[in-house]
Amino acid sequence: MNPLKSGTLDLALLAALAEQPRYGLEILQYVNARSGGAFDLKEGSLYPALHRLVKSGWVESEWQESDKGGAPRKYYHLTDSGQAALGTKKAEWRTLRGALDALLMRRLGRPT
Amino acid sequence: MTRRAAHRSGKVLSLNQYVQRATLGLPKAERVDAAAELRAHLLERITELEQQGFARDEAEFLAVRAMGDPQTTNRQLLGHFLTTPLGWLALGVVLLGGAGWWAYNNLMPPSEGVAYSGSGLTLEDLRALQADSDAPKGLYQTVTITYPKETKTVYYVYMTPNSFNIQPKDLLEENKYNFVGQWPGSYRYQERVLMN
Repeated sequence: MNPLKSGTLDLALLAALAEQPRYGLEILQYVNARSGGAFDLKEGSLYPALHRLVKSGWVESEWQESDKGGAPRKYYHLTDSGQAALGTKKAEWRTLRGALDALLMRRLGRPT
Repeated sequence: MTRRAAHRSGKVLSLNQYVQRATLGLPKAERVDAAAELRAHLLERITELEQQGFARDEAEFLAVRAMGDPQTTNRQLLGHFLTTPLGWLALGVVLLGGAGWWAYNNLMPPSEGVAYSGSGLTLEDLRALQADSDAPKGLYQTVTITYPKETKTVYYVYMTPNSFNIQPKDLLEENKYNFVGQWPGSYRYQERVLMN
């Protein structure tokens, strides 16, 4: 995984949980659908990343029975500190994006 | 290295094999939870693929393959060694052990008393014998005397049938110079005696 991706992986996962609690597969589908497949989240790295977020206290998980009669699913939701972290990371990302955009524009308003 | 190479070359893993390898080494409660989660994920994927028309074993193969290398997942789930209490404990034991060993070698004083060390002469002994032109040849019995810590004066008593002599030596004076460069408390005044 390239270093840029590992830094933004947390942001992507927190953003995926911002609206509603989701379980693993749902998070994958959400991220891939919203980013048009550009943010290629590897299935094998999803759960370790989620566990890391749980360990840092930004996310909590709970098992819920599936209403369709299938196997139970482990749902993740943001905690208060997770909401705060999401806000911070969003701001950091905007700053970074602005800085890089400014670097890459040769003339004001004209990307290279 | 060969194990990892086997995985990368596309060795076929079953669902059970994947889940088992991805959760190796985790503490019991965590392992069961993570295994259940991975299994639920894979089973759902398998159901999706079966609905698309794949056979059960084909769907299992594809679902497991989509998860990637179980060893990578396992490594990420285990986390860095120093984030666990066991890791810090191991580091503490190593550091304490090293510190203790160094202290034993450098800070501990020699044991007080008289130590007979056989007839082997050290280089220092030989030099001293060489410098003294009156020193007789032959076998010597070597003794190292270590004086107790607070010894202030040593009295040497020379007794022969014809004469009796006592000479004092002030150790405080001696130790003033001998202490330089030594760890406080680890130094004891020592004497080497060669008996012929």
